[in-house]
Order: sequence, then C-alpha cells, then structure tokens
Amino acid sequence: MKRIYYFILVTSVLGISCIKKSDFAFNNLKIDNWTPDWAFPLLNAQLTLKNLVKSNNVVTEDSTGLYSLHYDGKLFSAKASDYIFIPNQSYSSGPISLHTPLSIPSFTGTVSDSFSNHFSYTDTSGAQLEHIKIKAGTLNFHLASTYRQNISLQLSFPNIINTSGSALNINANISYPSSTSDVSIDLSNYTIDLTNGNTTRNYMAYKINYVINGSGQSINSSTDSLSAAIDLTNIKYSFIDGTLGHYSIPIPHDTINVAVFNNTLTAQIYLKNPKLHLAFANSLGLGVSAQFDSLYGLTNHGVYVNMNISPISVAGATSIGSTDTSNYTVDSTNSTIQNIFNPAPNQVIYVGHIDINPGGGMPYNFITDQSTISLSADAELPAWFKIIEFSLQDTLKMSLPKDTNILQKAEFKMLVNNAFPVYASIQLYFADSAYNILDSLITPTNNLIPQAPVNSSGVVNGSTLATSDFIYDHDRYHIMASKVRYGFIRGNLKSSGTNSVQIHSSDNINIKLGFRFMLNVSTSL
Amino acid sequence: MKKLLIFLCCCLPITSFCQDSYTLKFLPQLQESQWFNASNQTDAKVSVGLPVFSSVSMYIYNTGFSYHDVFHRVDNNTMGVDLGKLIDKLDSKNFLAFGASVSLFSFNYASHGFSAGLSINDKLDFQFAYPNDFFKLLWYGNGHYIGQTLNIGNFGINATYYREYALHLSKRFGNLTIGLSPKMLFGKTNINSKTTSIQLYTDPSYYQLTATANMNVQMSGIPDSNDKKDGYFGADYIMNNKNKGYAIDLGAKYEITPKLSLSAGINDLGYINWTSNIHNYTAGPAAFTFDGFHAESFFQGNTDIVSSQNLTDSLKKLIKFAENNSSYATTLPYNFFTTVNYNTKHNLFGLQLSGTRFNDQIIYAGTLCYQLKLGNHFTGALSYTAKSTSTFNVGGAVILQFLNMQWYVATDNWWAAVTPLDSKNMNLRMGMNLVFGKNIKEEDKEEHFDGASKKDKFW
Repeated sequence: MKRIYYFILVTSVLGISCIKKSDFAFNNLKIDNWTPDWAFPLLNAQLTLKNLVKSNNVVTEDSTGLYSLHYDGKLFSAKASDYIFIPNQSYSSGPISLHTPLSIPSFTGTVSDSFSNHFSYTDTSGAQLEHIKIKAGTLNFHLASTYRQNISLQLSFPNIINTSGSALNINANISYPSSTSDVSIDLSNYTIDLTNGNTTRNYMAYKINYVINGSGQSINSSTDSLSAAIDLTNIKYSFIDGTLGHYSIPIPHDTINVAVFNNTLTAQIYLKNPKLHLAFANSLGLGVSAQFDSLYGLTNHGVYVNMNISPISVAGATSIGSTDTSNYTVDSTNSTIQNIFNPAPNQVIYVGHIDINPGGGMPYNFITDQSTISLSADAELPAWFKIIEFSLQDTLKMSLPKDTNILQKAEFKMLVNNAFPVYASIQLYFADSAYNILDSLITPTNNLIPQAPVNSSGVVNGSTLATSDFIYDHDRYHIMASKVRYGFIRGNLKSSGTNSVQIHSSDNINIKLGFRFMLNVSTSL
Repeated sequence: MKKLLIFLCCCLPITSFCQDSYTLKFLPQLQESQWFNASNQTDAKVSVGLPVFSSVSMYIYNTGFSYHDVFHRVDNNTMGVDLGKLIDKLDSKNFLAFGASVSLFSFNYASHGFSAGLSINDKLDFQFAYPNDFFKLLWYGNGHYIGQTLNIGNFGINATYYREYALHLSKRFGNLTIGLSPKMLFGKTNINSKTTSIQLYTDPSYYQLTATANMNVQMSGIPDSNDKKDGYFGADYIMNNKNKGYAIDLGAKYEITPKLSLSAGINDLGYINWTSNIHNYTAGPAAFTFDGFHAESFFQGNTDIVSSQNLTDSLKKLIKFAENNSSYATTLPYNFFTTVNYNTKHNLFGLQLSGTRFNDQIIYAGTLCYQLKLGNHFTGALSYTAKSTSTFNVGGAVILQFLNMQWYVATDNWWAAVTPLDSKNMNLRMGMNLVFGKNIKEEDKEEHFDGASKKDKFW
C-alpha cells in the first residue's frame, strides 16, 4: 500500500513538473480559425424630394402637393454713379469791355462796371439737368486782362448755393503789370440750380463786378477788355435730377453653372412649364429697359439652346431713397424657355444691357450717388417632367487599400422601396490607369431603384420594393485591387410610365442598407 | 497581465465546488465529515477544532473549459488559440466558481451512538455565470446567427460571504442513525444577480439589431459612498448580524448488514434574509432596435446623423439602472446525496450519488471511493468522481493521527495536480483536529448481526 501512496505522490510532483514553459509562450501567440462574420444595418432613410435637394435650394409645394425646385441668384447689380457722370465743363465769358467808353492817356482814377450772363451745362447724353448736388469737385477761374491797370473783380454765381444758403462768390485781383489771375474753389457741398427759377434746364447764371484802378498808364475801352474762363472739373454728385439723357449700363457676360448636369452623358428632359422669375430692384429715379443680348444654354458637348426674351421695361423709384421692384416672369408664353432642358445644359450664359430713358422725351429723372439697379433670378422648375434620356457619369481617382487578406468578403444588402415616379440603375466601375474597366461593384443588372407605378396623370399610386445584394469576395478584390486607378460612377435615370410624371410631397423613397463582412484574423500576435 | 492570466489558468484546478466534498463524506473519523453527512459520527469521543487550524478549504470550479481548451501548444515557441473549439465545448450557460471556508471553532462529542457538536465557519462562495452565446458573438460575429437570438448578457454573479453557527446532532436508533445540523447564518456580503438578460437578434432583412435587456442585481453589505460617510465598515461589517438566515442539514444511515450500510441526506437547506446596506439595481425589461442611421437630413449637410451619440444614448436608455433598497432573501446552494458503504477490516468501498444546486442548475455526480486504514495512525482514501460537467476527477485523502492530533488533507480531484492544465476543477480541505478518547459505539457493546465481528468494523 505504501507503494500506492508513493505512486500518488510521485505522479503529482511529476505532473506539475510536466507543465512546460512553452505552455505559456504568449510572446508568440497564434490565433487559429478566427473568421468572424459581422452584419449590421447602416442606413434607414425615408426621403422626400425636400430631403434630397441641398438646403440652400427652396422647394415649394402648390395646393395639389406638386413640388417645384427653385434655384435663385443675383445676376447683376450696378451703381448709377459708376455709369452716369458729370463731365468736365469749360466756359468762357468772352471779352468784357466797359459799358461807358473811356480813353485816357494817363489814367489814375477809378472806374467800376459789371457784366451778367449764363453758362449752359452740356454733355453727350443730352441730359437736361435741373439740380446737381456736388459731393466733390473744383471750379477753376482764370481771369485775363488787357488793361494796363490794376483790376479788382468778383465773380458771382447766384444759383450755386452752399449749405448755408450763400451764393458762390469768387474774387480775383490783377496788379499791373500782371495781366492774369487764377483762383480755384472747392465746390464740395454746393448745389447748382440749373433751372433759372424753374424756367429752364442746364442754365447757370453768373455776374461779374469789377473795379479798374488807374496805374498812370493809358486806358482805352475800345481796345482793352477782361475775359473770364471757368472750368468745372472732377464733379462728383450726391444727387442730380432733371432729364438724365441716354445711357447704356451693361449686364456683363456671365455664366451660371448648372452643377447637377455637369457630369451628364446624355440628358433629354421635357420639363413642363419651367419659369424664370426676374426681379429688378431699381432705386434710380428713372425707367429703364433691360435687354438680354444673348441668353442660351450650353451643354458640355457644345450644344447651344437659345432662349429668346423680349426687352423688359423696368420702372424707376418714385422718391429718393426708395426702391422700386419690377417682376417679370419668363415662361413658355413669352420665350422659348420650354426647350432649355432639351438637352439639359450644364451652363447658362447671358450678356445684355440696360437702357436709361429708352423712350426719349423729357421725363423727370433723379439719381443719387447710392442709386443702384440690380437683377436677381429665380428659376422655378416644377417637378413635372418626362425624362426621355438622362445619364450621368463621374470619374474619380481611386486607389484601393492594399490587400491584407483580412477582409474575406463584403456584402451590401440594399432594400429600396420606391414611391417616386423615377427609377434608376447605378453602377460603379473600377478602371485601370488606361481607363480600361476591370470590374464593377454592383452585380445585379436590374434597376437599383425600381419603377413605381403611376396613374395617367403621372402621379405615383403605389410603391415598388427592390432588394439588391452586392457581394464582393476576397478573390475578386485580390485580382484588381493593385490595378485600380479610377472609378466610374454611372447612373441612368428614367421617369415612370410614358407620360410626364409629377413629384408630390407625398412621394418618397425608403432606402435601407445593411453591411456584412467576413474577416480572417487568424494570425500570430 | 500575462502573469495574471497564467496564474488564473493554473489556479483553475488547484483549489471543489460549493463547499461540497464528495470524498469527505467517506471519512467519518473526521468531525468535518459530519458537516457534509449529518448522520456520520466520529471515531473520537471528543474532537476540538482550533480557529483556522482545524479546517481550511478552498475550491475552484469552472464548468466551461480548462487551460488547454483555450491554449494549445503549436511548437516549442508558439501557443495557439482556437476559441471555436472551446465554444463547441461550452454549454449555453457556464459557471466559474470559487470559494473558501475557514473554521473559527468546532467541537464534537460522540459516545454510545450519540454525537453532538458545534461548528462556527466563515464561508465565501463566488459564482460567475457566463453565456456561451457571448463568446459565439465575439468569435463568430453576429453574421453567423442571422435570424437567431443570442443570449449575450446573461452573465451572473452570485457571491455570498456569511458566518455559519451550526449544531451537529446524530443519534443511533438500532440500525438507523439519524442526524441533523440546524444552522444559524449571519450574512456579511451578498451579490445576487437575480436576473441578467441581454439578448441580441439580427434580423435577416437588412441586419437590424434588436437588443432586449432585463436586469436585476441585488447587493447587500457592499457600502456605497453614502454608507462610507456613515462610517459603515470594519468592525460593523465583521460583526454585522442583521442579515439573519437559517439552514439545516439532514442525514440518515441504515446498516443493512454490519458491512453494508446505506445513507442519504440533504445539506444546506436554508436561506439568508438580507436587510442591511441594500443596493438593488434593476433595468428593463426594455428593448432597442438599431435599424441604421437615419439620414433624412444628410443632404442638407447634417452629418450628425452618422454620429454615434444617438446610438450611445439609446443604449444608455436600454440599460438604465434604477436603484432600490428593498430587502431580499437568497437560498443556499443545497446538495443531496445517497451513499452505499461496504466495510471490511481495513478497507471501505463506497459509492455515492449526489446532486448540487448550482445557480439554477443541478450538478449530478457519482463517486467511487476506496479507503484503507493502516493501524490507528494512518488512513488513506482514493476516490473517483464523475460530474455532469467534468467526468474525470480522481481524488483522495490522507489522515494522520498521533499525539491526540488528527491531521488530514482531502481533495476530490487530485488528478488535477497531475494534469493541471487539462483540469476544470479542484478542491482541497485540510486541517488538524485535537481528538481525545474513543467513541464507544452501540455495536461495540452489542452484536446485532450474526457472523459479523466488531473487529471487522471499520467504524
């Protein structure tokens, strides 16, 4: 029996001693047969048209629930003072002689006289101005004398008034033997009344009073005279009124990018009753006429689609500081806009001009240095259309992650329940550096977004469910991963039925996406 | 961390289970044997157990796996892990249990077919339940279980530390010996995960994930910050007698012949009522389905829809605990047994069939035991136990008795010491009793059975 217990003792000790260090060789741990398979939902979205468009776009809904998309933007804005100028004016009094004949060989006395006349404002626009409030500008006065006497002169403009109500008076003196005198006056804050007491326009009266003090030299009124030259230069106005004449303010050449069609392969869409709402905001106190000299859509394949619009009359502001808004809607009744999406352009190009006082006559106008005219546009695209053909393709630079053997299989499971009156097929192609297609992501060839039923009016009256599984296994990935340089995303969109379809607020698409992947993480740590 | 892992793995088989001792029931000469079979009576007239020295026991038990079920040697420098093989071996619910018992005092008097004793023991039992489905999910992923429900969260912790005051009474009536051990229990700490359920369902449609949670965890004697402010700990904890409980062991033995006896019993039939420092936490029943990120506003530039915040918030709501302080009761993990013993002069052959309630399961076991007594000083035993969760357990015991000292060591799975990395469980009980005199048994005075000499009696 002792042997038995010796045996027990010995085997116990030996057993424990049989634990080897290598049983705990965790520095080199090998994980075998670990191929987890994970599946989880990625996406569950119930989308209406409002959800699908970017938030900076406005979606409106009419009483029937029909959606319209609105793309708005400011096309043009011009400040009147950038186009309507007060040109420099140059006036001359001509020779001014004494009214009373005087001829003395050696004149030492004093004689006084005066002279009144007016200048006329002129410019090339044919303006007939009543008032000019001057913000900045200079009056240069040049006095010349053939008298061999001393001259004291005052030039007065009774209708050029400063903010204190005082008329503009300019004094000049000539001391013989000098024969000229020059004076410059800052005209800031002066107002020129060109109406001569509301009787006319462009009329600038002046008066010259002068005194001749004898210098002992001879004087002869039949040969001696004075002359005044006046220049108005760099006049900047804060307000002018009257009839401003004819001007043309250009609407510069510009391009509107229609981004959604940037990657269009082909697009033929018949859009029912698209509209272009033009809004002119005019704080000029005058009526204008806007004219698009050129307005057309241009596809990325170089196809022009012209849209002709008649000249648009825009009313002016009725009071200083107010803005008059004129709205004008371009639709199929007054333009060829109906064709603008056939084919769909990815650029809309325009150039034009605005005519001031296009009708002639002598209307009363006013502007300030802050007066502007601007044009904004709102393209209203009713979600009522028929897609004859619409294909998009985008090319992406792509390099796939290095094959690590970890990812054995990836599967996307997509459930699309479509209650939109459009359906689509979508594919992602993988291409090499020479754009040769190597493989594609989506195996099913049926429509990813299935066709929903519509009634005779093109309104959805049901939904269609499509289930798609995209399975990509390691072997397929291994073959192409290192070669892929580009990806082509290609989509074809069509409208349900044979007629135009309408997208209403109740239309929606429910997209559910699940992702399942199998890994092989058997490895040594 | 690795060292800790190694240590834990090595500990798996070294230390049995729910304070049960299969081999010890076949060692009536120890007063500790009466703690597991109430009808047993000691050989000594008086047995005294000194604090700590008389009986210390530990056990660890893992129903799920051994070290080598997890790690296998690929070569001398490489360890391999194949959790798939492990998972195949796991039940739907598995348990890791460990515990210890220390005797604070024990006394027993036995004479003329009557035995009376007292024992005071501190006992700790810790059971951790873990679901197979949790490991299935980690290893295989939910993709393997589409359309199925995985019970990934029915983890459970049932831990109890209590003090047991037990009377051990046994009386022979002719061929029949009746024993009973009434016990008074004072609970110190308890964690009782009454309900812990988290289920995960993966819908085959597009893999929507639905989680359901229902949790109810009861705790007593674990002070929170408020309890600590109130100064609850230390002596208050050790001497806490507010969590009272009662239990009883019952046993009976019938001697069919002088050599052949049949006994049966049930132990730890009782409960503890937990009333002090209660912190109960409940969550659910609640359900949450993640059906993907809702991207309705994605095209408006709202990228928050793919943030994990919403998901996190939902999960927080799913497992949002509410606390209450209601008292509760837990039952002890009772066990029942029946044994057949055949005695010869120096040998005993025994067969035991037993069952132990473990969590909400019954663990069945069958034990064969051979005992050899050499003189008055040495007794050895060898046992084999097959349990419903571990079929190969070779144990044994050694008792050395001299100078009124009775040294003993007993285990139900000595074989684990030979192959520790392939074992799931082991227990060990050891100690020293002071023994005085000799129990004068009824049969020593009277011959009840023809042809059977008292000298043939082992006890």
